[in-house]
Amino acid sequence: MKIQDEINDQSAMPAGNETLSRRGLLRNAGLLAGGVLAGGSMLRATTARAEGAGVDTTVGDGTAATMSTASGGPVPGLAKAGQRKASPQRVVNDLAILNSALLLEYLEAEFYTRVVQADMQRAYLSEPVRQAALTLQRDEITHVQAISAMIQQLGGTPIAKPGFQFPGAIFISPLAFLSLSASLEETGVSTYLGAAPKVQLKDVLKFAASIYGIETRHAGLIHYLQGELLAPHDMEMPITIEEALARANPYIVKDQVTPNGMVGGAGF
Amino acid sequence: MSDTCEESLRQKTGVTPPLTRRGLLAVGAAACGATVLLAARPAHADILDTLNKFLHLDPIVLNYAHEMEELETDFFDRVLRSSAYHQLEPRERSIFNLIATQDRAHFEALDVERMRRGVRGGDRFETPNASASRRPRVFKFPAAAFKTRENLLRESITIKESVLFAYHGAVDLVSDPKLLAPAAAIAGVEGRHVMALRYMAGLNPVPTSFEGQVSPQIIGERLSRYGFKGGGMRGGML
Repeated sequence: MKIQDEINDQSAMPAGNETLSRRGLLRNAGLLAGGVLAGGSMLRATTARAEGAGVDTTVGDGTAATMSTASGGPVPGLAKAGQRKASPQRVVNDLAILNSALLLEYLEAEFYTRVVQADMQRAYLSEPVRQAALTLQRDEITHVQAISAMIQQLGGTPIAKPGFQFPGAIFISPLAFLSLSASLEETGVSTYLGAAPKVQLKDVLKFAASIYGIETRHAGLIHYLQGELLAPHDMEMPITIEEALARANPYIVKDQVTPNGMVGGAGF
Repeated sequence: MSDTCEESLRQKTGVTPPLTRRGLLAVGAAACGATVLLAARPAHADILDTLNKFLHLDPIVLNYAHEMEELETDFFDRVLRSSAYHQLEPRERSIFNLIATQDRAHFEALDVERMRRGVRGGDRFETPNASASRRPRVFKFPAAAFKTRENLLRESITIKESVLFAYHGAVDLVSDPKLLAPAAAIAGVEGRHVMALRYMAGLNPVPTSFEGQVSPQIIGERLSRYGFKGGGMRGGML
Protein backbone atom coordinates (compact mmCIF):
# COMPACT_ATOMS: atom_id res chain seq x y z
CA MET A 1 0.00 0.00 0.00
CA LYS A 2 1.33 3.44 -0.89
CA ILE A 3 2.03 5.86 1.93
CA GLN A 4 -0.49 8.37 0.62
CA ASP A 5 -3.18 5.68 0.36
CA GLU A 6 -2.45 4.57 3.89
CA ILE A 7 -2.78 8.11 5.17
CA ASN A 8 -6.06 8.62 3.37
CA ASP A 9 -7.28 5.29 4.64
CA GLN A 10 -6.30 5.98 8.23
CA SER A 11 -7.73 9.48 8.07
CA ALA A 12 -11.13 8.31 6.91
CA MET A 13 -13.94 8.10 9.40
CA PRO A 14 -14.56 4.75 11.09
CA ALA A 15 -17.01 2.43 9.30
CA GLY A 16 -20.61 3.35 9.90
CA ASN A 17 -19.71 6.92 10.72
CA GLU A 18 -20.12 8.39 7.26
CA THR A 19 -22.63 10.89 8.50
CA LEU A 20 -20.49 12.27 11.26
CA SER A 21 -22.81 14.08 13.61
CA ARG A 22 -22.00 17.10 15.69
CA ARG A 23 -22.96 15.10 18.75
CA GLY A 24 -20.48 12.40 17.81
CA LEU A 25 -17.70 14.93 17.36
CA LEU A 26 -18.53 16.54 20.67
CA ARG A 27 -18.58 13.20 22.44
CA ASN A 28 -15.17 12.24 21.05
CA ALA A 29 -13.79 15.67 21.77
CA GLY A 30 -15.19 15.64 25.26
CA LEU A 31 -13.58 12.33 26.09
CA LEU A 32 -10.22 13.29 24.68
CA ALA A 33 -10.12 16.97 25.52
CA GLY A 34 -10.16 16.19 29.21
CA GLY A 35 -7.08 14.04 28.92
CA VAL A 36 -5.27 16.42 26.63
CA LEU A 37 -6.06 19.45 28.75
CA ALA A 38 -5.05 17.66 31.91
CA GLY A 39 -1.82 16.54 30.28
CA GLY A 40 -1.23 20.02 28.91
CA SER A 41 -1.75 21.59 32.32
CA MET A 42 0.71 19.21 33.91
CA LEU A 43 3.27 19.92 31.22
CA ARG A 44 2.81 23.68 31.55
CA ALA A 45 3.14 23.43 35.29
CA THR A 46 6.34 21.43 34.96
CA THR A 47 7.73 23.95 32.51
CA ALA A 48 6.81 26.89 34.68
CA ARG A 49 8.49 25.34 37.69
CA ALA A 50 11.60 24.53 35.73
CA GLU A 51 11.84 27.99 34.18
CA GLY A 52 11.21 29.60 37.54
CA ALA A 53 14.11 27.66 38.96
CA GLY A 54 16.29 28.72 36.04
CA VAL A 55 16.93 25.22 34.79
CA ASP A 56 16.58 23.47 31.47
CA THR A 57 12.95 22.80 30.63
CA THR A 58 13.56 19.32 29.29
CA VAL A 59 12.59 16.50 31.55
CA GLY A 60 13.42 12.84 31.87
CA ASP A 61 14.50 11.47 28.52
CA GLY A 62 14.50 14.89 26.94
CA THR A 63 10.82 14.86 26.07
CA ALA A 64 9.37 18.32 25.87
CA ALA A 65 7.59 19.89 28.76
CA THR A 66 6.30 22.68 26.58
CA MET A 67 2.72 22.53 25.46
CA SER A 68 2.42 26.31 25.51
CA THR A 69 3.35 28.82 22.82
CA ALA A 70 6.27 31.21 22.51
CA SER A 71 3.94 34.04 23.50
CA GLY A 72 2.87 32.21 26.64
CA GLY A 73 -0.63 31.05 25.67
CA PRO A 74 -2.07 27.58 25.26
CA VAL A 75 -1.54 25.67 22.01
CA PRO A 76 -4.00 27.33 19.61
CA GLY A 77 -6.90 25.32 18.29
CA LEU A 78 -6.07 22.17 20.22
CA ALA A 79 -8.59 22.55 23.02
CA LYS A 80 -11.44 23.64 20.74
CA ALA A 81 -10.90 21.26 17.86
CA GLY A 82 -13.84 18.95 17.32
CA GLN A 83 -16.17 21.14 19.34
CA ARG A 84 -17.26 23.31 16.43
CA LYS A 85 -19.73 22.29 13.80
CA ALA A 86 -18.02 21.11 10.64
CA SER A 87 -19.04 19.04 7.65
CA PRO A 88 -17.61 15.51 7.51
CA GLN A 89 -15.86 16.31 4.22
CA ARG A 90 -13.95 19.18 5.80
CA VAL A 91 -12.98 17.05 8.79
CA VAL A 92 -11.80 14.18 6.56
CA ASN A 93 -9.81 16.62 4.44
CA ASP A 94 -8.02 18.03 7.47
CA LEU A 95 -7.44 14.61 8.99
CA ALA A 96 -5.58 13.55 5.85
CA ILE A 97 -3.40 16.65 6.05
CA LEU A 98 -2.75 16.12 9.76
CA ASN A 99 -1.78 12.49 9.22
CA SER A 100 0.68 13.52 6.48
CA ALA A 101 2.16 16.03 8.90
CA LEU A 102 2.29 13.33 11.56
CA LEU A 103 4.36 11.09 9.30
CA LEU A 104 6.93 13.86 8.80
CA GLU A 105 6.98 14.61 12.52
CA TYR A 106 7.52 10.91 13.30
CA LEU A 107 10.46 10.98 10.90
CA GLU A 108 11.99 14.09 12.46
CA ALA A 109 11.42 12.90 16.03
CA GLU A 110 13.05 9.54 15.27
CA PHE A 111 15.94 11.24 13.49
CA TYR A 112 16.81 13.51 16.43
CA THR A 113 16.23 10.76 18.99
CA ARG A 114 18.76 8.50 17.27
CA VAL A 115 21.26 11.32 16.84
CA VAL A 116 20.99 12.30 20.51
CA GLN A 117 21.47 8.66 21.49
CA ALA A 118 24.50 8.34 19.22
CA ASP A 119 26.00 11.51 20.66
CA MET A 120 25.55 10.16 24.18
CA GLN A 121 27.71 7.19 23.13
CA ARG A 122 30.31 8.99 21.02
CA ALA A 123 30.13 12.72 21.92
CA TYR A 124 30.71 13.66 18.31
CA LEU A 125 28.67 16.88 18.33
CA SER A 126 29.94 20.24 19.52
CA GLU A 127 28.05 21.81 22.41
CA PRO A 128 25.94 24.24 20.30
CA VAL A 129 25.02 21.47 17.87
CA ARG A 130 24.23 19.05 20.70
CA GLN A 131 21.98 21.67 22.32
CA ALA A 132 20.22 22.22 19.02
CA ALA A 133 19.69 18.48 18.56
CA LEU A 134 18.17 18.24 22.04
CA THR A 135 15.87 21.20 21.41
CA LEU A 136 14.72 19.85 18.08
CA GLN A 137 14.18 16.39 19.54
CA ARG A 138 12.04 17.93 22.29
CA ASP A 139 9.95 19.90 19.80
CA GLU A 140 9.42 17.10 17.30
CA ILE A 141 8.32 14.65 19.98
CA THR A 142 5.90 17.28 21.29
CA HIS A 143 4.58 17.86 17.78
CA VAL A 144 3.95 14.12 17.37
CA GLN A 145 2.01 14.07 20.63
CA ALA A 146 0.04 17.20 19.81
CA ILE A 147 -0.86 16.18 16.25
CA SER A 148 -1.94 12.73 17.45
CA ALA A 149 -4.16 14.39 20.06
CA MET A 150 -5.62 16.74 17.45
CA ILE A 151 -6.40 13.87 15.08
CA GLN A 152 -8.16 11.98 17.86
CA GLN A 153 -10.12 15.04 18.90
CA LEU A 154 -11.41 15.33 15.37
CA GLY A 155 -12.57 11.71 15.50
CA GLY A 156 -9.78 10.26 13.37
CA THR A 157 -7.04 7.70 13.93
CA PRO A 158 -3.37 8.71 13.92
CA ILE A 159 -1.32 6.66 11.45
CA ALA A 160 0.99 4.08 12.99
CA LYS A 161 4.63 4.99 13.26
CA PRO A 162 6.60 3.32 10.47
CA GLY A 163 10.16 2.11 10.75
CA PHE A 164 12.88 4.53 9.68
CA GLN A 165 16.40 4.23 8.30
CA PHE A 166 19.08 6.89 8.07
CA PRO A 167 22.55 7.11 6.50
CA GLY A 168 25.18 5.90 8.95
CA ALA A 169 27.25 9.05 8.42
CA ILE A 170 24.88 11.19 10.45
CA PHE A 171 25.85 9.27 13.59
CA ILE A 172 29.54 10.04 13.26
CA SER A 173 29.76 13.29 11.31
CA PRO A 174 28.35 16.59 12.61
CA LEU A 175 28.34 17.98 9.08
CA ALA A 176 26.34 15.02 7.79
CA PHE A 177 23.90 15.42 10.66
CA LEU A 178 23.45 19.16 10.01
CA SER A 179 23.03 18.59 6.30
CA LEU A 180 20.26 16.01 6.67
CA SER A 181 18.68 18.03 9.48
CA ALA A 182 18.52 21.11 7.23
CA SER A 183 16.95 19.03 4.48
CA LEU A 184 14.29 17.54 6.78
CA GLU A 185 13.47 20.87 8.41
CA GLU A 186 13.13 22.65 5.07
CA THR A 187 10.85 19.87 3.90
CA GLY A 188 8.72 20.31 7.01
CA VAL A 189 8.49 24.08 6.56
CA SER A 190 7.55 23.83 2.89
CA THR A 191 4.99 21.09 3.53
CA TYR A 192 3.12 23.03 6.20
CA LEU A 193 3.16 26.11 3.99
CA GLY A 194 1.92 24.21 0.95
CA ALA A 195 -0.88 22.60 2.93
CA ALA A 196 -2.04 25.77 4.71
CA PRO A 197 -4.43 27.03 2.01
CA LYS A 198 -6.02 23.58 1.82
CA VAL A 199 -6.85 23.34 5.51
CA GLN A 200 -10.58 23.74 6.05
CA LEU A 201 -11.03 24.14 9.79
CA LYS A 202 -9.86 27.32 11.53
CA ASP A 203 -8.80 25.46 14.66
CA VAL A 204 -6.64 23.10 12.62
CA LEU A 205 -5.18 26.04 10.71
CA LYS A 206 -4.18 27.90 13.87
CA PHE A 207 -2.77 24.71 15.36
CA ALA A 208 -0.76 23.84 12.25
CA ALA A 209 0.49 27.43 11.95
CA SER A 210 1.92 27.28 15.46
CA ILE A 211 3.91 24.17 14.51
CA TYR A 212 4.94 25.64 11.15
CA GLY A 213 6.35 28.69 12.96
CA ILE A 214 8.58 26.51 15.10
CA GLU A 215 9.73 24.48 12.10
CA THR A 216 10.92 27.71 10.45
CA ARG A 217 12.93 28.51 13.58
CA HIS A 218 14.43 25.02 13.44
CA ALA A 219 15.42 25.44 9.80
CA GLY A 220 16.96 28.83 10.56
CA LEU A 221 18.85 27.46 13.55
CA ILE A 222 20.37 24.60 11.59
CA HIS A 223 21.45 26.91 8.76
CA TYR A 224 22.91 29.26 11.36
CA LEU A 225 24.97 26.43 12.86
CA GLN A 226 26.07 25.43 9.37
CA GLY A 227 27.36 28.97 8.87
CA GLU A 228 24.98 29.43 5.97
CA LEU A 229 22.22 31.91 5.20
CA LEU A 230 19.56 31.40 7.85
CA ALA A 231 16.82 32.35 5.39
CA PRO A 232 17.82 31.44 1.82
CA HIS A 233 14.67 33.02 0.33
CA ASP A 234 12.77 36.23 1.04
CA MET A 235 9.63 34.14 1.39
CA GLU A 236 9.22 30.48 2.30
CA MET A 237 8.68 28.10 -0.63
CA PRO A 238 5.70 25.72 -0.53
CA ILE A 239 5.67 22.11 -1.72
CA THR A 240 2.81 19.66 -2.11
CA ILE A 241 2.15 16.85 0.32
CA GLU A 242 2.95 14.37 -2.45
CA GLU A 243 6.35 15.99 -2.92
CA ALA A 244 6.98 15.94 0.82
CA LEU A 245 6.16 12.25 1.04
CA ALA A 246 8.46 11.54 -1.90
CA ARG A 247 11.27 13.30 -0.03
CA ALA A 248 10.53 11.33 3.14
CA ASN A 249 10.24 8.02 1.30
CA PRO A 250 13.97 7.04 1.30
CA TYR A 251 13.99 7.13 5.10
CA ILE A 252 10.95 4.93 5.60
CA VAL A 253 11.35 1.18 6.01
CA LYS A 254 8.52 -0.31 3.99
CA ASP A 255 5.88 -2.46 5.65
CA GLN A 256 7.50 -2.20 9.04
CA VAL A 257 6.16 -0.59 12.14
CA THR A 258 8.58 -0.19 14.98
CA PRO A 259 7.88 0.35 18.63
CA ASN A 260 8.40 3.92 19.82
CA GLY A 261 11.89 4.74 20.96
CA MET A 262 13.78 2.32 18.72
CA VAL A 263 17.35 3.50 18.55
CA GLY A 264 20.09 2.78 16.06
CA GLY A 265 20.44 3.50 12.37
CA ALA A 266 19.87 0.77 9.84
CA GLY A 267 22.07 2.64 7.40
CA PHE A 268 21.89 2.49 3.65
CA MET B 1 -34.73 41.57 31.50
CA SER B 2 -36.53 41.17 28.22
CA ASP B 3 -36.09 38.05 26.18
CA THR B 4 -35.89 39.62 22.77
CA CYS B 5 -34.37 42.72 21.19
CA GLU B 6 -37.82 43.84 20.09
CA GLU B 7 -39.19 43.69 23.64
CA SER B 8 -36.16 45.50 24.92
CA LEU B 9 -36.72 48.30 22.43
CA ARG B 10 -40.35 48.59 23.48
CA GLN B 11 -39.44 48.83 27.15
CA LYS B 12 -36.77 51.46 26.60
CA THR B 13 -38.79 53.72 24.36
CA GLY B 14 -42.15 53.10 25.94
CA VAL B 15 -43.75 52.86 22.55
CA THR B 16 -44.09 50.15 19.97
CA PRO B 17 -41.80 51.17 17.12
CA PRO B 18 -43.26 50.83 13.66
CA LEU B 19 -41.43 48.09 11.81
CA THR B 20 -40.05 50.14 8.93
CA ARG B 21 -37.16 49.28 6.64
CA ARG B 22 -35.27 52.32 7.91
CA GLY B 23 -35.79 51.22 11.50
CA LEU B 24 -34.57 47.74 10.81
CA LEU B 25 -31.50 49.08 9.06
CA ALA B 26 -30.71 51.37 11.98
CA VAL B 27 -31.02 48.55 14.48
CA GLY B 28 -28.94 46.32 12.25
CA ALA B 29 -26.21 48.94 11.90
CA ALA B 30 -26.11 49.51 15.65
CA ALA B 31 -25.90 45.79 16.33
CA CYS B 32 -23.14 45.41 13.76
CA GLY B 33 -21.19 48.29 15.32
CA ALA B 34 -21.54 46.79 18.76
CA THR B 35 -20.34 43.43 17.45
CA VAL B 36 -17.28 45.05 15.88
CA LEU B 37 -16.46 46.79 19.15
CA LEU B 38 -16.88 43.57 21.08
CA ALA B 39 -14.75 41.68 18.60
CA ALA B 40 -11.93 44.17 19.04
CA ARG B 41 -11.50 43.01 22.61
CA PRO B 42 -9.14 40.06 23.02
CA ALA B 43 -11.54 38.33 25.41
CA HIS B 44 -14.11 38.19 22.60
CA ALA B 45 -11.77 37.07 19.88
CA ASP B 46 -14.00 34.10 19.13
CA ILE B 47 -16.63 36.51 17.85
CA LEU B 48 -14.26 37.33 15.01
CA ASP B 49 -14.66 33.78 13.74
CA THR B 50 -18.36 34.37 13.26
CA LEU B 51 -17.91 37.93 12.11
CA ASN B 52 -15.40 36.92 9.46
CA LYS B 53 -18.07 34.84 7.75
CA PHE B 54 -20.10 37.97 7.11
CA LEU B 55 -17.48 40.69 6.82
CA HIS B 56 -14.54 40.54 4.48
CA LEU B 57 -11.53 41.20 6.72
CA ASP B 58 -8.80 40.42 4.19
CA PRO B 59 -8.15 44.06 3.17
CA ILE B 60 -7.88 45.05 6.83
CA VAL B 61 -5.43 42.25 7.56
CA LEU B 62 -3.45 43.16 4.44
CA ASN B 63 -3.11 46.77 5.57
CA TYR B 64 -2.17 45.59 9.03
CA ALA B 65 0.63 43.37 7.68
CA HIS B 66 1.71 46.09 5.27
CA GLU B 67 2.16 48.64 8.04
CA MET B 68 4.05 46.16 10.21
CA GLU B 69 6.50 45.46 7.40
CA GLU B 70 6.83 49.19 6.80
CA LEU B 71 7.71 49.67 10.45
CA GLU B 72 10.28 46.88 10.32
CA THR B 73 11.78 48.23 7.09
CA ASP B 74 12.15 51.67 8.62
CA PHE B 75 13.71 50.26 11.80
CA PHE B 76 16.22 47.93 10.16
CA ASP B 77 17.18 50.57 7.58
CA ARG B 78 18.13 52.79 10.49
CA VAL B 79 19.98 49.92 12.15
CA LEU B 80 22.33 49.65 9.18
CA ARG B 81 23.30 53.31 9.63
CA SER B 82 23.61 53.16 13.41
CA SER B 83 26.71 53.23 15.60
CA ALA B 84 25.60 49.98 17.23
CA TYR B 85 25.72 48.22 13.87
CA HIS B 86 29.44 48.95 13.60
CA GLN B 87 30.05 47.32 16.98
CA LEU B 88 28.78 43.99 15.66
CA GLU B 89 30.83 41.02 14.49
CA PRO B 90 30.93 40.53 10.69
CA ARG B 91 28.56 37.54 10.89
CA GLU B 92 26.12 39.55 12.96
CA ARG B 93 26.26 42.47 10.52
CA SER B 94 25.51 40.14 7.65
CA ILE B 95 22.47 38.85 9.52
CA PHE B 96 21.17 42.39 10.08
CA ASN B 97 21.79 43.10 6.38
CA LEU B 98 19.78 40.02 5.46
CA ILE B 99 16.93 41.00 7.79
CA ALA B 100 16.80 44.54 6.38
CA THR B 101 16.81 43.25 2.81
CA GLN B 102 14.13 40.65 3.44
CA ASP B 103 11.87 43.02 5.38
CA ARG B 104 12.00 45.45 2.48
CA ALA B 105 11.14 42.60 0.12
CA HIS B 106 8.16 41.72 2.34
CA PHE B 107 7.00 45.32 2.39
CA GLU B 108 7.24 45.57 -1.39
CA ALA B 109 5.47 42.23 -1.90
CA LEU B 110 2.58 43.37 0.28
CA ASP B 111 2.57 46.71 -1.53
CA VAL B 112 2.12 44.90 -4.83
CA GLU B 113 -0.59 42.72 -3.30
CA ARG B 114 -2.46 45.80 -2.10
CA MET B 115 -2.27 47.42 -5.52
CA ARG B 116 -3.37 44.22 -7.20
CA ARG B 117 -6.40 44.02 -4.97
CA GLY B 118 -7.10 47.75 -5.07
CA VAL B 119 -6.76 47.97 -1.31
CA ARG B 120 -6.26 51.49 0.04
CA GLY B 121 -6.21 53.08 3.44
CA GLY B 122 -3.41 53.14 5.93
CA ASP B 123 -0.89 54.70 3.57
CA ARG B 124 1.36 56.54 5.92
CA PHE B 125 3.03 58.60 3.23
CA GLU B 126 0.05 59.64 1.17
CA THR B 127 0.07 63.30 2.11
CA PRO B 128 -0.67 65.92 -0.55
CA ASN B 129 2.78 67.51 -0.52
CA ALA B 130 4.94 64.46 -0.02
CA SER B 131 6.87 63.28 -3.03
CA ALA B 132 8.02 59.72 -3.38
CA SER B 133 11.64 60.80 -3.08
CA ARG B 134 11.10 62.66 0.18
CA ARG B 135 9.00 60.30 2.21
CA PRO B 136 8.62 61.61 5.73
CA ARG B 137 9.69 59.40 8.59
CA VAL B 138 6.64 58.78 10.67
CA PHE B 139 7.75 55.92 12.91
CA LYS B 140 9.64 56.81 16.01
CA PHE B 141 12.18 54.62 17.76
CA PRO B 142 14.13 55.28 20.96
CA ALA B 143 17.53 56.76 20.08
CA ALA B 144 19.18 54.55 22.69
CA ALA B 145 18.22 51.49 20.66
CA PHE B 146 20.84 52.36 18.04
CA LYS B 147 23.70 53.12 20.43
CA THR B 148 24.82 49.75 21.81
CA ARG B 149 24.76 46.15 20.66
CA GLU B 150 22.73 45.11 23.69
CA ASN B 151 20.07 47.78 23.15
CA LEU B 152 19.96 47.06 19.45
CA LEU B 153 19.31 43.37 19.97
CA ARG B 154 16.70 44.03 22.66
CA GLU B 155 14.72 46.47 20.52
CA SER B 156 15.07 44.28 17.43
CA ILE B 157 13.71 41.26 19.29
CA THR B 158 10.79 43.28 20.69
CA ILE B 159 9.77 44.45 17.23
CA LYS B 160 10.42 41.17 15.46
CA GLU B 161 8.59 39.00 18.00
CA SER B 162 5.62 41.35 17.97
CA VAL B 163 5.38 41.13 14.19
CA LEU B 164 5.86 37.35 14.20
CA PHE B 165 3.19 36.78 16.84
CA ALA B 166 0.92 39.21 14.98
CA TYR B 167 1.09 37.17 11.78
CA HIS B 168 0.25 34.00 13.67
CA GLY B 169 -2.48 35.77 15.63
CA ALA B 170 -4.16 36.93 12.43
CA VAL B 171 -4.04 33.59 10.61
CA ASP B 172 -7.71 32.79 11.22
CA LEU B 173 -8.86 36.25 10.11
CA VAL B 174 -7.79 35.63 6.52
CA SER B 175 -10.45 34.05 4.34
CA ASP B 176 -8.75 34.12 0.92
CA PRO B 177 -6.22 31.28 0.50
CA LYS B 178 -4.40 33.44 -2.07
CA LEU B 179 -3.66 35.93 0.68
CA LEU B 180 -3.01 33.32 3.34
CA ALA B 181 -0.22 31.69 1.33
CA PRO B 182 2.04 34.78 0.93
CA ALA B 183 1.29 35.97 4.46
CA ALA B 184 2.35 32.60 5.84
CA ALA B 185 5.41 32.58 3.57
CA ILE B 186 6.48 35.93 5.05
CA ALA B 187 5.70 34.82 8.61
CA GLY B 188 8.02 31.86 8.18
CA VAL B 189 10.96 34.09 7.33
CA GLU B 190 10.08 36.34 10.26
CA GLY B 191 10.41 33.27 12.48
CA ARG B 192 13.95 32.68 11.20
CA HIS B 193 14.82 36.31 11.93
CA VAL B 194 13.53 36.01 15.49
CA MET B 195 15.53 32.83 15.98
CA ALA B 196 18.77 34.49 14.84
CA LEU B 197 18.28 37.62 16.92
CA ARG B 198 17.57 35.58 20.03
CA TYR B 199 20.62 33.41 19.37
CA MET B 200 22.83 36.49 19.01
CA ALA B 201 21.41 37.88 22.26
CA GLY B 202 22.28 34.67 24.11
CA LEU B 203 18.62 33.70 24.52
CA ASN B 204 17.10 30.31 23.74
CA PRO B 205 16.32 30.59 20.01
CA VAL B 206 13.42 28.14 20.24
CA PRO B 207 12.04 28.48 23.77
CA THR B 208 8.86 26.45 23.23
CA SER B 209 7.48 23.89 20.80
CA PHE B 210 4.67 26.08 19.43
CA GLU B 211 4.86 29.53 17.87
CA GLY B 212 3.24 32.46 19.66
CA GLN B 213 0.00 33.99 18.49
CA VAL B 214 -1.15 37.40 19.70
CA SER B 215 -4.31 39.29 18.72
CA PRO B 216 -4.17 42.45 16.58
CA GLN B 217 -5.54 44.46 19.52
CA ILE B 218 -2.61 43.60 21.79
CA ILE B 219 -0.02 43.93 19.03
CA GLY B 220 -1.43 47.35 18.15
CA GLU B 221 -0.99 48.47 21.73
CA ARG B 222 2.55 47.10 21.89
CA LEU B 223 3.67 48.76 18.66
CA SER B 224 1.81 52.04 19.17
CA ARG B 225 4.84 53.50 20.95
CA TYR B 226 6.63 53.43 17.60
CA GLY B 227 3.75 55.29 15.92
CA PHE B 228 2.04 52.16 14.61
CA LYS B 229 -1.57 52.86 13.72
CA GLY B 230 -2.82 49.33 13.14
CA GLY B 231 -3.12 49.24 9.39
CA GLY B 232 -4.75 52.60 8.91
CA MET B 233 -7.91 51.71 10.78
CA ARG B 234 -9.21 54.95 12.26
CA GLY B 235 -8.70 54.86 15.98
CA GLY B 236 -6.37 51.93 15.96
CA MET B 237 -6.66 48.25 15.38
CA LEU B 238 -9.23 45.72 14.31
